[in-house]
Amino acid sequence: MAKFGRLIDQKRCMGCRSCVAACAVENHFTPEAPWNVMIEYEVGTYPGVKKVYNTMNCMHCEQPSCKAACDAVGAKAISKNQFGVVLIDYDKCIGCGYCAAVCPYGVPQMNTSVADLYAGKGKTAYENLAYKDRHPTHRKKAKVAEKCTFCTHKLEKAVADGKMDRIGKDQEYTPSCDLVCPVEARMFGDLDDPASNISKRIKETGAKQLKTQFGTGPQVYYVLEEGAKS
Amino acid sequence: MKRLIASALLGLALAAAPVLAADPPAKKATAAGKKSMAADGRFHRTHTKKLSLQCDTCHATEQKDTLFLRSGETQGLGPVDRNTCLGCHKSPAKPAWYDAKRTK
Repeated sequence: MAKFGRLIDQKRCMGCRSCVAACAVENHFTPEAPWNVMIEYEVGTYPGVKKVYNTMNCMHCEQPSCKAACDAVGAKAISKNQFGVVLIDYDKCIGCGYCAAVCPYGVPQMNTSVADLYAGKGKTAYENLAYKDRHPTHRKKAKVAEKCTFCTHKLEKAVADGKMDRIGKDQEYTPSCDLVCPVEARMFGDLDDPASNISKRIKETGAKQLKTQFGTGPQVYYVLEEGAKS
Repeated sequence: MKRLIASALLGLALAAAPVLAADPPAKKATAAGKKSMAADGRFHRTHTKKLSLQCDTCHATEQKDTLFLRSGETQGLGPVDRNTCLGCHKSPAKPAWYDAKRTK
C-alpha cells in the first residue's frame, strides 16, 4: 500500500508563495484559515545572512496527535486513511479545538466563519460550486477544524481512474501546491516505494522531518537550508 | 367526585399545554460547550482545577515557535510551546498525544 508524502527543498524555494496561492484556490480556504502558509526567517550573522523560506502545511503524521486528541474527546472526526492522509470529517467535528491545541506544527485551523477567499471581489469559480457538487473536504462549515488534505480529492480520482502510478506526476492526480512550484522545490509521491522519485530524493539529499522530538512521524520532509530550524 | 377530579386535571392539563408547548426544550449542553479551549472549558479546567497548574506553567513561553503554521496566533498568552506538553503527554503516559503507536 502506498504511503504518500511530500518533500520540500528549502535550498530551492525562493518564497514566491505560488504553492500558497494554488492551495487557496484549489481548496478555497478562507483567509482566516489557510491550509498552506509561508514562514520566513533569517539565519546566520552579518554578512553571512540567509533567508529561510519554510512553507508549512499538514504533516500528515503517522501517529497524528490531532487524531489522538480528537478520539480522546469522543468526536472521532479525524481519520488517517490507507494512503496515510489525515482527514477531518466536518460533520463529526464538534469544534472543540483540541486538535489545534495539541498539534506541534500549529496546523488545524478553527474556521469561525465561511468567508470569501477574496473579500469584496466576489466568489471564485470554485466557491460558486454547489455544496452537493463539491468533495466533502470542500463543503465548508463554520466552527469546525480544517486543514490540508494532500488534495485528497485528486488522490481519490487517481484511485478511481486506476492511475495511482501517475500521482505526483500528472496535474489531475497531484496536489496543486506541488504542481505550481516554478523552481521544483516541491515533490509528492509514495514514501513506501524505495524506487519512487521522492524516496530517492529524500535519500540523496538527507531530507529531514521537522520537530521529531514529538514522535508523530511527519510524512513531509525538508531539505534544510544551512542553519535552518528543524 | 371522580368526574370532578378528572375534569379538574384535564382542565389543568389543557391550560398548561400552550405554556409547555411555547417553552423550548431545555437546551442540552453541547459537546462543544463542555469540551472547548475557552478559559472555562474542559481543557483549561482539567489543567488548572484538576491538575492545579498555574497559568504560567504553560503560558510562560516568551520565545515564539517559528515552525508553526498558525503563525499569526498570539503565542505569548495564547498557544503554548508544545514542548511543554511533551512532559506529560508523551507515550506511555495517558492521555498520550505524542510518540504513540502507529495509527492503522
